[in-house]
Amino acid sequence: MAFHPSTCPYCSCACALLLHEENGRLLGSYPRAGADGRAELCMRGWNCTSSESHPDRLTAPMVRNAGRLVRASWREAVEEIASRLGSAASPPLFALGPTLANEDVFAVRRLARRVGGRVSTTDLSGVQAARFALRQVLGTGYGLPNLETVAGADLIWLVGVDLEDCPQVASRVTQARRDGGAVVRFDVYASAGGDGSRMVAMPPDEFGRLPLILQQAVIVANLADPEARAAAGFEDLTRYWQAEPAGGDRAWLSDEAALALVREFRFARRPVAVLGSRWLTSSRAEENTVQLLQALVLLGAANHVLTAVGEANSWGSLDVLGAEARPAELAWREAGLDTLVVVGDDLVRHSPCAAALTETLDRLRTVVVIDRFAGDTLRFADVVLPSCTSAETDGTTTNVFGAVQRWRRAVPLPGDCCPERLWASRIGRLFGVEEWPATAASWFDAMRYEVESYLPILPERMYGENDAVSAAGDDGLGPPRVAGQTRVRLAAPAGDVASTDRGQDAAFPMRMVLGAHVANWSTGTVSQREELLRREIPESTLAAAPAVLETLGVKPGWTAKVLVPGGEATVTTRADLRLPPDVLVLVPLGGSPPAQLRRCCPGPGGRSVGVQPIPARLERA
Amino acid sequence: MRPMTILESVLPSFLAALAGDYRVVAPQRVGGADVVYADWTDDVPVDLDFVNTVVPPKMLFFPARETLFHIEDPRHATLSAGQEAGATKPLAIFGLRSCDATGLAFLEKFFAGRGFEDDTILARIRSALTMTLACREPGADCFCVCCEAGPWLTAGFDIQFSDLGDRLLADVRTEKGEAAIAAASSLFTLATPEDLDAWSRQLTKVDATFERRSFMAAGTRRISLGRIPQEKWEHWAEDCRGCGGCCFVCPTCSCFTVTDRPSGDDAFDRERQWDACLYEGFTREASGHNPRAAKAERLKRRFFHKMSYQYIDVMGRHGCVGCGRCVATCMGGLDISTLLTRIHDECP
Ligand code: SF4
Ligand code: SF4
Repeated sequence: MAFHPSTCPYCSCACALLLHEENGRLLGSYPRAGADGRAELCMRGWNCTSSESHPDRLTAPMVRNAGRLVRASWREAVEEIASRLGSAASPPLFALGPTLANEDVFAVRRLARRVGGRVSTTDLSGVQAARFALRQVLGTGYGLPNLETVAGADLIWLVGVDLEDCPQVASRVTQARRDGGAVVRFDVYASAGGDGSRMVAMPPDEFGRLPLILQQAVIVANLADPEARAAAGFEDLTRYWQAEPAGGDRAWLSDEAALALVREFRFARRPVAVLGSRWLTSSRAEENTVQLLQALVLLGAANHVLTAVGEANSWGSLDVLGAEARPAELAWREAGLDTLVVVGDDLVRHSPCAAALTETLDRLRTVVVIDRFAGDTLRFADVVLPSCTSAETDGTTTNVFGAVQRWRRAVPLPGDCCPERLWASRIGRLFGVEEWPATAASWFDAMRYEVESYLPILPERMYGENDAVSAAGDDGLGPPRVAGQTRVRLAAPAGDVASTDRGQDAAFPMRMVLGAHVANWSTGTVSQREELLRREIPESTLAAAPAVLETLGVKPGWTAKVLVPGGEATVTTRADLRLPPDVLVLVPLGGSPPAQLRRCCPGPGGRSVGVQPIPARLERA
Repeated sequence: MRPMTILESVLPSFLAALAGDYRVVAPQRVGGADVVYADWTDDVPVDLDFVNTVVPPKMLFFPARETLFHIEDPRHATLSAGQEAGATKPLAIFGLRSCDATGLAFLEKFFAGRGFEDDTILARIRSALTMTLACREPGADCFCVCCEAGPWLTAGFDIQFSDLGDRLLADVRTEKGEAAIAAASSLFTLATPEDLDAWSRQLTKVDATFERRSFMAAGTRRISLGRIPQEKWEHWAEDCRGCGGCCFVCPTCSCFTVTDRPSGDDAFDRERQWDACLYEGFTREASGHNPRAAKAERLKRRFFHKMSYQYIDVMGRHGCVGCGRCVATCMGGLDISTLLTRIHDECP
C-alpha cells in the first residue's frame, strides 16, 4: 500500500490528489488539503483510477499491415515512423492533446523541430483565445493567482461561465455568495434561476457587443482606473469612444444598466471576473476577449481575471510551445499536409468538424497515433505507439493559475507503454540526435532552459528527495506572472469588432450554444474510460424553454430533431425555465452525432477556433 | 484488564511485536499536510498529532475499488478469487480516531446485512485489532461530540490509547486487545493513580473544547417528519456539484457499484467500486427512468438516510459520526453540520 501525492490530470484547476496504490494497481484517488486547506475534488478527480485497465487501453505498438493494425515490436514501430517522417512530402504536423506532461510536450516539440515539422494543440475550452488576449492586453500568460481570490470576492462577474463546467469555480462562487458577495452572470439565459445572482442576458450573436458597451460606459462616465489611464494606448481608446457611440438597438443591456454595472464593479473592493468556456469558445472569442480584458483594465481589474478553466488543460503546453502552437483544428486543414502524428488525443472524437477531419485523415499518406486508448482516430492510423496516463509517469503540469505541479508515477506501465518523451527520443535517435535526457528531472531541466518563464523553477525543488508538492498557488513553483508584472497595452477597437454574426437564415431562426457536464469532459481521452463518469451522462441532451417544447408537442425527456445548416441530429430534450425562446443549450456527448453539430469558426488571427453559437431549428422527431 | 501505560518512545517496539500476527497500519504523513493510514514500518514515524486522515479507514476494509473475482471462462463459469479478497494477515490499526471506530462498527452492521452477509468485508473488520487514539483536542471541522462517537469511547475498540505526553495510556476492552498487550507485556506498566487522574482530566477537558456543533436532534425530527419544504431542498441542492466526495469521505457510507471488465480473451474481472448516492447515475434504472433524477431528491435522500428515525431504527444510530470530513470536502457547503444548522435555522 502506498500513497503518491500527485495532481488531477483532467482540468486546468489541477487539484492536488493522493493516488492510493496497492500491488501495482490504483485503488483510489483522494483529495489532498493542498495550499488552501481544502480537500475537494470534483467527480472526475475522485474517479480517475480505473482507466489503466480499461479494455480500450493501448499496451503494444502496432503497424498497419494489409489494412489491419498488427502488433509490432517497439523498434519496428519506431523505425516505421522514422522512415515515414523522413520521407514526408511536406512538414509533418504533430498534433498534441490537452493532457500531456510539460516534458512530453517539450520532447515532441524537439522532435518536430528536428524533422522539420510543426506543432498544434487541441483546444477544448478556449485556452488559446484566452492566452492570446492575456498576452495582448496584459502582457502576461496568466490571470488570477488562485481560486481563493474568487471565494474572497465581494463582486463576481461570470461571463459565459457554465457553472456545471467548472465545479471548483462554482464552489468558490458559492462561498463568496454565502459570505455576502454579489454575482452577476453574463450569459445566454433570460434569468439566473434561484441562485441569487443577477443576469445579463446576452443574445448568443451579440457577445461581441458586451465589452464595447462596458468600455464606452467607463470612458463616458470618466470612471477609468488611474493605472489604466497611465497605460499605453489609453488616449487612443478614449478618443475612439468619445467619437464612436457603441449604442444602438439593444434591449438586453441599456446604457443606464451598463453604467450601473461598471460603477458597481469599479467600486467593489475585491471584484473578480471569470471568463468561461461559453465565452471563450464562441465565434470571434479572440477579439471579444481582447476587448473584454480592455474593459476590465479600465475598471481597474487587470489582475482580477480568471480565464478558461473547465475542460481546458493546455496552459503548460502553451508555455512550452509558445507562438508555435496552432489550434489543431486549423493546422490539419493546411494544404499539402501528408503526415500527421497525433499525440495524446482522439482528434476525431474531439473535432467539431469530424467529417472534414476524417476526409483529411483518409487521404493522408501517414497517420501516427501515440496515445493511451484506442479511440476513433485509431482507424486511420498507420502506426500506433502506446503511451501512459498521469498515474504512470513522472512529470509536471501547469494549471490555469500558472502553478507548475507534479504528476507522480504511482503504478507500473502496462505492456510496452511509455511516456511520449521516451517515444520522441527513440524516434529522434533515428534522426541522429543521440543526446536525449534520461530522467523526468533531466527533461524538466532541459525544458527550463528553453522555456524562459520556467527557468527560475529549480529541478531539485520539483524533483528532489523531498520535493515540494505544489498545490495551486504554492509560491515559487509557478512561472513569473501577474501582480505588478503586467504590461498593460490598450488599443482602440479596430475594424468591425462589434459586428454581430446573425447568419440571417430564416430556416434557422434559433441559436444553439454548448453546455457542459463535468462527467462528459473528454480531456485527453482518459476520463471517458471511467465507468462512473460514463454512466453519469449516457446521452447528449438539449435544453429548451418549456414553451418551445410545448409548442412542438414534445415532453421533456422525449427526443426532438435539431437541425443546423448542413446537419441534424436527434437528441433527448430537457426543459429549462431560464432559457429564452430562441436559445437552445446542447450538452453533447463526445463522438455522438449531436457533437457534430458544433460549428467551426476560425478566429481571424488563426489562433483560436469558435464552436458556437450555431444557427438552429427544432422539430418534432 | 486494568489500564496500562507505554512510553511513547517504545511504541514502535509494540507495533513491531504485533507485526508477526498482523498487518500493522498507522497514521502517516504524505506530501506534507495530509495524513493517511499506511503500512507501518519502523523507519516511518507514527503521527500522534494529526486531526484525522484524509479518507476514513473504511478504505482498508472496503477499498475504493477491488476485484471480487475473476471469471476465467464465462461458458463454464470458472471463477477465482479476486486479488484483494484473500488478504494475508488481519489488520492491526493503530491510531484510529473514535469517530472512525464508530463508523467501522456501523459498516460492520451494514455488511452483516439483513439476510445477506458480505463475508469478505466482515472477515476483514472482525479479524482486525482496533487501537483507537482518543483525541486531545478536536479539529475545526469535528463534531463527534454531538454524534455519540467521540472524542473518546467507552466501547467499540480493542485498545483505546490516550496520549499523556511522554506516555500513552492503554484502556483494553477485549481479549484480542489483551492478547496484543500480552505479546509485548514488557513494554507496558500498570497505570498509576496519577496517570488515571491525568487521563480523566484530559477526557473531560476535550469534551468542552469543540467549536463546531451539529443539530442532530433537530435534524432527525424535522427530516423524519418531512418538515422540510421541497423548495428548501431544491434551493440547497443548487450548490451541490455532484462530486460524490461526501459519500467517499464518510466513514459510514457504503454505496458501491459492480462492473464486469474484460481482462483478456474471454476473461472478466468483477469489480466493486465506491459509488455515491449524489451521482445522477446511481439510481438510474436500465429503462432510463431515474427515480432521483433531480439533485434535490438525491440530497434529500442522503440526509434521510443519515438522519431519519427510520434509519436509526434499522442501524441503531445516526449515519453520521461527526468526523467532519464532509465539512472539508463538500464543494457546496452541504455537509452534515452546516446543512443541519440551516435546517435548524430555516425550517422550524
Ligand atoms: S476540478 Fe479539475 S482538477 Fe479538480 S478534480 Fe475536477 S477535473 Fe480534477
Ligand atoms: S460533497 Fe457536497 S457537492 Fe459533493 S456531492 Fe456531496 S453534497 Fe454535493
